[in-house]
Amino acid sequence: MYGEILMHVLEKARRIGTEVLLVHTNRTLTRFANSYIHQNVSVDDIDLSIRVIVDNRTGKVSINQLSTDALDEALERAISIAKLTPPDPDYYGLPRPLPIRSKKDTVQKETDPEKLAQKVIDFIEATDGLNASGALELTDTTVAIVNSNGISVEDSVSMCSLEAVVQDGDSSGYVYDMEKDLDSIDFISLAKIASNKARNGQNPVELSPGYYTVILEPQAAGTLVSFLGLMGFGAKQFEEGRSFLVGKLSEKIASELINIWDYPSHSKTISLPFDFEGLPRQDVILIEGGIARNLVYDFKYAKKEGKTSTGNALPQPSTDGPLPFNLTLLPGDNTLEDMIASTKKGILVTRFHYTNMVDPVKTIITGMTRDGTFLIEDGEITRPVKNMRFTQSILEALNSTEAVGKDLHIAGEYFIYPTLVPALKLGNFHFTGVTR
Amino acid sequence: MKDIAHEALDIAMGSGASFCEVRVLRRRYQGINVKNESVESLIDHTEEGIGIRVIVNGAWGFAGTSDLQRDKILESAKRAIQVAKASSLAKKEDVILSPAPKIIATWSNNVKINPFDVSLDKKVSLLIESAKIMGKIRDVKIAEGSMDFWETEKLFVNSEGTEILQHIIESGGGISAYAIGEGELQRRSYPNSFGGQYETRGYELIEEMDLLNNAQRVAEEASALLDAPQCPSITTTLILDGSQVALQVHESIGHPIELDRILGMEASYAGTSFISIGDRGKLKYGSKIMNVSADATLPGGLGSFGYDDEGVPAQRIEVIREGVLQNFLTNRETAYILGETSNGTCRADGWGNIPLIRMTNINLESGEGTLEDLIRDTEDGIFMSTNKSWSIDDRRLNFQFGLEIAWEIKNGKLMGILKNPNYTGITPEFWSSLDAVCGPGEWKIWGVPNCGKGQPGQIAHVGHGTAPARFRNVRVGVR
Repeated sequence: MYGEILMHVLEKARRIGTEVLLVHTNRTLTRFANSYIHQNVSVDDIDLSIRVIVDNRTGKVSINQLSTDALDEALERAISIAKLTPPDPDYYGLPRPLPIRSKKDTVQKETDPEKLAQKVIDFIEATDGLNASGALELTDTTVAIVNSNGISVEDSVSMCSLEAVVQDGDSSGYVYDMEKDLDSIDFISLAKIASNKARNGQNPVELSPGYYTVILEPQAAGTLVSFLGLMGFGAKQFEEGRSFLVGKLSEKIASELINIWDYPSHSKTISLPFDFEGLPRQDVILIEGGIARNLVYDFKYAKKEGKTSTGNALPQPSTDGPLPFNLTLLPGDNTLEDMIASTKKGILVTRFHYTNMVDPVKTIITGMTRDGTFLIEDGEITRPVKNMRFTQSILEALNSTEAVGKDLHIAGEYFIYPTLVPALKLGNFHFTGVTR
Repeated sequence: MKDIAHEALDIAMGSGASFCEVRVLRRRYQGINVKNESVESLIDHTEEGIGIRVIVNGAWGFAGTSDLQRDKILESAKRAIQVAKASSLAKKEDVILSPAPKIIATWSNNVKINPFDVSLDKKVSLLIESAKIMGKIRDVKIAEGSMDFWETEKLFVNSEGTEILQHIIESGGGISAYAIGEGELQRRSYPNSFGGQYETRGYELIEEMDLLNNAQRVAEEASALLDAPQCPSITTTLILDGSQVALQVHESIGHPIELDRILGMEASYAGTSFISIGDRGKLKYGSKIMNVSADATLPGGLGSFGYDDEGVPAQRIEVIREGVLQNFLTNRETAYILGETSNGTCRADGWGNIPLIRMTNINLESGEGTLEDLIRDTEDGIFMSTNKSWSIDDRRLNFQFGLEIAWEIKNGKLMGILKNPNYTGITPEFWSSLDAVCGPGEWKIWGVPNCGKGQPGQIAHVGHGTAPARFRNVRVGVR
């Protein structure tokens, strides 16, 4: 669809090493609060970037207009920037094409805002008069990449997500789901789950800070996996000494129950078959039976380290380096009910809120519980608990894993790629404070 | 730009809207990142687009497009109408906007040196020179520097006859040194972390920073932190530098006073607020010396502008007087609920987002004396500087901040440095423990260029005028 436009730039650039990356996003997002739709948007945007390399000097310009004049002007500007930039001693050229697997899904475009509104109404009505807030989002994204070494790829992906909080007075419950199309989300069931949590959360007790056994529902487990993904699986982080994996590859860093992959081929992940350099996405085993196995690479860091790109490039040049996009914590064989039943005293966490890194090398993060925190006593959920702050090393927490859930769910995290995770039971988790 | 905006307005109003506002925006951004004497990334981005917001059947709809051809604008206006009609299927009450004056105006900020007129070579050379100085210090393995510049031209028109053209230039930059030891990483930044200092000014801001003369000091501090003792886990007197007071204000005052949060409009994402509407004039937020304003009129502040994205003039409002809450941040929709007019804080990220209530410059008013005076006046405590991490609960009560460096204070003097400092507290209790704020000589508007809010996520540029401040009985060294 965009091949002609992108090729125009390559032809104009002639013998200059050039890459053109186009991302077209069409998003409709219906937001509700206090059980009515209060914000509702539909936006169509394009970002086209031209990266040129002149004598190992890189120039990059991005625009959101596709006229021939805009493209030509952007190319000229990129070339002039490249000429003003110092040469990059670490430049390894542009990648050459590799076979891309055929995409596993077809894109289902659904843009009728009335249909989204009706789904929101279904959700609100199923809460039986409680206070519902959330966002229903439908996004179609097309990515096209060409470069002067022959890469020419284009594909599209659709994503539909619902995030919602249901409040009953001061207590609340949360649900999140992300699917490939609108009809795959069960709005009624999700509304019931969030409503039950809200109703069961009334009059919470305050627990003292300290070390507890915790059962993390998938959304909470996803926070740990997401932040781990930011802290050190990338080859650049590793090379710079910023990764928690420095000196630990092939060593045991977590319980043997923990297996983490970057897993683009999993049937539940939503992923394009190539990365932002146009190279094929690969499944990568990152942690196997608790042992650190591999890093993820883009073209540059693969070349530097004598490896093959795993298809984990962000748009280049990237200050972050390669990162895992489809982190998956492989399932175990326990149900959430098994985990609760086997717990003498512990805390059930629905989700964490506003988590942030404290010490990335030691994988220490801090954050709050939110929207459904409960005390477990003698194998049963007994009382709701006031929200608590944790300050905890992720690896130490994962090292105390006692059980891994058997059902995988997509978990969202602010500003980080979604993960595919089951529930987790951890023997030792440090809560350091309580809120009012 | 004008023709495009008015055409979109006419299309929307002719298609059943009872209200319409249109923003046409052009923005250029330049971002330079240098690492260890190499340019790691250099981004030159330009974008333009149109955002059309309408009220139909008493409900909001918005559509935006980057394609400014006439047929696409027509399509977007009709899409906004379609979206609003869908919203009206799940409305409780009609949206009513508080009145706003009809304004015809232009506005631009004062800039001495347009950063886009400064050669790339000059900018890159300054950052590389700074990185060279930092890289010479023992254990400093990563030396980074960055600059960011934005030039925004935006036209706002609405169906009430307002037409405003604004031109805003923003600049920012800073340096960081990372010292790496055995299983440990320590960072020092100047003049602030996460990109440095940002203002609505030109390249003169970068020149005034004097990056070269601060590079060696921050690198030496990063290196020294590797061998420093841990910040102890105690309850003590805490002095925060101005940049950290800014982030403390941001998270525990700026966000909780947003009226949309208070009304539950952000409940599912960023959360709500511990404040309720009835708290105005009553809630004891902090100690008697705590005075806070929201001021979008301050020259140079990153949260300064001429008019917000509903066409309401920039204002200064009193938020907290002598520790008692006085006001919220409002827009036209939420101000109507209070029976008032908007205090002009509604801003959108670019052309493709709806305007939301956003902080302007939320300022802790200055007290008296210098930082040196304050330390001299402190018998026993800890002085912390430069933010490293932040976290606060969904009602903005329980917070925890990590900082890059701390110094022990003994008998009015700074002693040795401490690593991995952090502190925690509960918002009103913490602000009630405030017993000193430094004077105007130490007061500065710190820019925060990465304030996230809303769905789809929006990033706002906001500011906080603050000075170093002292708090009693604070829990530090959480581990």
